[in-house]
Amino acid sequence: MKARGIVTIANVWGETEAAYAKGVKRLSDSAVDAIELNLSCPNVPGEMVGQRAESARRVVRAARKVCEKPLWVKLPPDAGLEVAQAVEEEGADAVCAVNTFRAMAIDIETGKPVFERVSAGLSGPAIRPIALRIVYELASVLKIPLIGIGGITTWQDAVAFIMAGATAVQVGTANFIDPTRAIDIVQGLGRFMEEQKITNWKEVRGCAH
Amino acid sequence: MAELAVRSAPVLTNEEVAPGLFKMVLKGTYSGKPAQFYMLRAWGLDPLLARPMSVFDRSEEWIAFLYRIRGRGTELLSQLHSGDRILLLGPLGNGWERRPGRVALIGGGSGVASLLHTAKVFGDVDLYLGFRNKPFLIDEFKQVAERLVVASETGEGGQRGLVSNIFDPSGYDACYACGPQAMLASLSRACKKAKVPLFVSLEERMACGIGACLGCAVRTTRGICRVCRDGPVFHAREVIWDG
Ligand SMILES: Cc1cc2nc3c(=O)[nH]c(=O)nc-3n(C[C@H](O)[C@H](O)[C@H](O)COP(=O)(O)OP(=O)(O)OC[C@H]3O[C@@H](n4cnc5c(N)ncnc54)[C@H](O)[C@@H]3O)c2cc1C
Ligand code: FES
Repeated sequence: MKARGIVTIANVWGETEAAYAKGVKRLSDSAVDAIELNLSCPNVPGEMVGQRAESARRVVRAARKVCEKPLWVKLPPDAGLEVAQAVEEEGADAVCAVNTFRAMAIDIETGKPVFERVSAGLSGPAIRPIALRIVYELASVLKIPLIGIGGITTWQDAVAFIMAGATAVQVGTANFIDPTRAIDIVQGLGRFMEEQKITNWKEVRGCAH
Repeated sequence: MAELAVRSAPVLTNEEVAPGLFKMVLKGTYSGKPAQFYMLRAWGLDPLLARPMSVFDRSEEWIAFLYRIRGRGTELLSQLHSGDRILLLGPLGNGWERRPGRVALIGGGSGVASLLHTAKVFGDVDLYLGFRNKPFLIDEFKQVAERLVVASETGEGGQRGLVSNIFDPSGYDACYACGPQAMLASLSRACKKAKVPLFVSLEERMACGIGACLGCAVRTTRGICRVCRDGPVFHAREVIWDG
């Protein structure tokens, strides 16, 4: 990917602080451009590190010590502002918000949960308005860049996240509907810039506040 | 990555060939090996995801899918008319290749959908089809098989019983099957006993169809595999059957 000029950001998740640090160290020594710490893997049982400021702080501190690359921290939707602030204080370079929402489905024929682990991560357009609200709130307390995530499917969605205060956005689920969707979004953003005579996104970033 | 571009195709025909079962023909040249599939979508963002469908039949000018109405997605597909457009992504997954010698194809329920194309491409195959009640598209299947055995649970239009019980693998050099899990698991046991290789085409719920979401993971002896990308075709002995 490097050879093709593709910026690569690795997402890392661990079961313990030590495991996080080990993963981050290895990635920091690799060719990746940045590392995203996943504090909210919703597909594993138990509590998510990202839900409490203290545990989030410990993991980010451990990771920061061994990380020479930009360190981003991805938060669960229910993290709260204190967690984001703790992450910032520990030296994260950016906060990515939000990860999927824990959700469930029940098969009414068997009367049992559909998913083996009962809940699974809900993503896509259904979560977008909630994610947008969280990004908006985080933007008012954080100084470091915020990367907006949550059901972004069109270029208009991306503009809204930027206006809420995001410096960049991530597109996940929309790629599953159409692998070239991200290209459409980038092109739409370009057209919007031209039409609105925007020369730098800074001019509109956070304008909704 | 031409294969990863969504294409839009006009519907030529979309007919109910049996109760709740539709055959849809789209105009255009589409590739696809036997057991490969496409992700189909005929809507905007609701429902959100495309639906996987095996190639039922194709020519230089058209491609056909055979599908049963299961829920909202397939219901919407069934409402399309000639001239409406549909989005498709594919062909996806690994197809299966004909082994030399005597070959049997076994299909159950809507799993018969991928076997017409398979039989046409493979040539010289025995076809065993299982239905819940009245068999469908028998004339089309007859034309592509050396020998056609039809079974139905009610005994309508064929032998009464499950095709997996009626089928005997001995004497075949390779078998290929597509259908419900229970049928595949039972065929797997029979083929193992008869020491005949069996290839199965698995179905899992799919979100992306291209290996990105990990939604279609299954346990195999090679570890966890994605049905869409690592399959849908597996050697039956690699699959860890539930229960
Ligand atoms: C590789 C592959 C090839 C397929 N080829 C065909 C085909 O040629 N013809 C055909 O009729 N069907 C085929 N299927 C199954 C088909 O994709 C589903 O029936 C369809 O996605 C259901 O969509 P829906 O919106 O109508 O139903 P939903 O509302 O999504 O679900 C309705 C019901 O269908 C079941 N279902 C949903 N997805 C699947 C699935 N992937 N496999 C099995 N059951 C499912 C659900 O459990 C539920 O009970 C294939 C599936 C795969 C993975
Ligand atoms: S459907 Fe997404 S990985 Fe298979």
